[in-house]
Amino acid sequence: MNPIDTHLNAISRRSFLGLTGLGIGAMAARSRLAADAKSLVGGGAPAPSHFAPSAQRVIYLFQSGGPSHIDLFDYKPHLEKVHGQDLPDSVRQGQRLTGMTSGQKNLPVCKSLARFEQRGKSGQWISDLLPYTSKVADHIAVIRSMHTEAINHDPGITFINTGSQFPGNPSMGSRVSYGLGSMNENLHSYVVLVSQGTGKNPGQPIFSRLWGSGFLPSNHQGVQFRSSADPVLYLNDPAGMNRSDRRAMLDDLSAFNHIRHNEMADPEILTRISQYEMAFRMQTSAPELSDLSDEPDWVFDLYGPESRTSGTYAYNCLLARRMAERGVRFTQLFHRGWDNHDNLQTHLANQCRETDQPTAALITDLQQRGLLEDTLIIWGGEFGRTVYSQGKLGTGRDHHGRCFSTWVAGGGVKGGVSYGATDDYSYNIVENPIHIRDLNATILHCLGMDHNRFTFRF
Amino acid sequence: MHHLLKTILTSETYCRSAASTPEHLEKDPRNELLARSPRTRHPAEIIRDQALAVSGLLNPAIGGPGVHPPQHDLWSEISHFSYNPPFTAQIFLPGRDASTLRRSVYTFWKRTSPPPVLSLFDAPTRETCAVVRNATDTPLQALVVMNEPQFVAAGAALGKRMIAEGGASPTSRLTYGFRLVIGRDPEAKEMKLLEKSLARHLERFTTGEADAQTLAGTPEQAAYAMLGSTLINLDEFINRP
Repeated sequence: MNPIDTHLNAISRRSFLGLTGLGIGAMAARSRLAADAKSLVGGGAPAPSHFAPSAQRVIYLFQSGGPSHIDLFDYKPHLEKVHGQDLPDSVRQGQRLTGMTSGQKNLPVCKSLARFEQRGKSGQWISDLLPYTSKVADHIAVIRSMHTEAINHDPGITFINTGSQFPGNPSMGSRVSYGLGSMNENLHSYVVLVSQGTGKNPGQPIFSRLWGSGFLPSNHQGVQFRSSADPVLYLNDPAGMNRSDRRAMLDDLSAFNHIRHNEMADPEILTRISQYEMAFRMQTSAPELSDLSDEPDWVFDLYGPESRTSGTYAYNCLLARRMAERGVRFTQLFHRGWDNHDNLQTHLANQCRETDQPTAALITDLQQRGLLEDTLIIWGGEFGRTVYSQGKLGTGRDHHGRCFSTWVAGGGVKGGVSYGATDDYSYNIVENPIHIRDLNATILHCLGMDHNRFTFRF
Repeated sequence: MHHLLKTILTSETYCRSAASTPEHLEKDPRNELLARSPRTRHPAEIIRDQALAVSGLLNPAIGGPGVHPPQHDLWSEISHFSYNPPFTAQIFLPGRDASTLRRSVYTFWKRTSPPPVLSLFDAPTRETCAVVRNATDTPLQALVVMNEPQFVAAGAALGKRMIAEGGASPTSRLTYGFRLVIGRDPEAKEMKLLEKSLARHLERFTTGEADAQTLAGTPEQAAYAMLGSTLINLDEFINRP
């Protein structure tokens, strides 16, 4: 590296971030300045945008493992006629398969496990496996023409969450945190909630890179809220220390650091003081967030019985609503268990039962509170599943990246719409393909960001 | 080469302190004129290692397999965990001996779920090559140094060390602790603060207003533990001075 550049890189974060000349997107820099003015973690006031945003915040309901679009959203009556027959080569078109089915002699086509019906005023086709989602059909826009190049979980899930199959890129949430900053003084702008479905237990592994900050500063990485006594890591003071002890310690710390600041005039010292103060506030705000005792019974009824049990998908959906209310910019749920290679009948039904009601409840609840109109909700996984059976007919379905379904709702999205179309086998896209990168660009667009003008050079 | 290095190292510019003035910051915010030395935050490993070192807890053993300082079991929350430990890193099994107090370079690294104490201080994930490390400043870092069990233990051990090795008077004990952590004597203002802080903690623990027993033992030990923790949280300890 050029030694002068090296020297310039050694300057403090504060002055660095104040310089648009170093190539940081102007919007992000302005946001960072606003954030620094308030000395917050992930940002301050909402930043100026490239265009008028239709959403202020995002709740991403990530269904890890690859939900079967054929059994849930992509209605294909033709499959009734060809059920059990081999997948025609004219449909497969030589597509590579995963090692799990590439050795199979036959690829028997399997019709949807569940009956489909048109739902709501809009007449969206949704299967009987999702009765609650069916009731909010007029709020959601189903994209039936999603596609990805990845055929296995690790690259696939990394691709959709970071924009590349290779590790090292920032996750969607950290990009948004970096670009727009936080909307509150007590919580992070990007929060992650992980849950395990019983559909396939244990599910496919996930990785902290999915909410990592990649090459962006690590204060934009997703903060995992966990279902334990320490909802955020190291939130609790040591045993024996009460709040006044901590306050007394922080007062001393601040006094020492102020002395130092008077000598060094380094604004970073003041930033550190304010970060300690935010940590102190988080020690109250984070437990308050995950304490559901102030929620009335009708809310638990809405989200279903599991919403009372911490660590479940239903509980996390309810937490997501509380985060939306408190100004968390990007809340992402990771729910595992959709990788239904076998026991499709049982596992898929279990997954749907655990997620359907709370997912729909979140839409209803946000709508009742007037938050749906500026909260973008995304439901989907890293790919779909094959129309042909893995193993014997009807046993399971393998990974399928050539088409799958994802839905979006709220935040400027027109509900009751289906976008894109697949062929009679739900195998190839025939109309309006949406690559996962297109979806990510659209998410940024809804938040007021032009992905082509949103860069970070380093 | 020797001549060049000597010239650089003995130059007035290289020897300059990191201290600045508002006027300098105003005129040269990027320090292009080199009126001051850069003031950077220590890397993750050094922050943990030096806390263990000044408290006397550091285990200096060299070499051998990776070690597992206790942490929350973040691994099983995301991993496949269908294989029995200890053959895979699917479930976190905390180390239970003095190996957990070795330098951070020995901490076992699971790339899909790196040790949070280090990753929160910008240690790269090791999934890709990192040309430069970030040096962020976040509330989660504050929580680590205040509450992570090994940092808490370091604060308490530093307190004990001040009592045992720092002489009989509070002044000499406080000076000893401050010198251990910061590497210089406290200034008069700082000494006054240290003494005031000690007196206040002692009073709270002696009157039972705060729980000395659970925290560290006797009221005196608890008061020094609080000061020990305060010292390792100082900006001057976490940053290059």
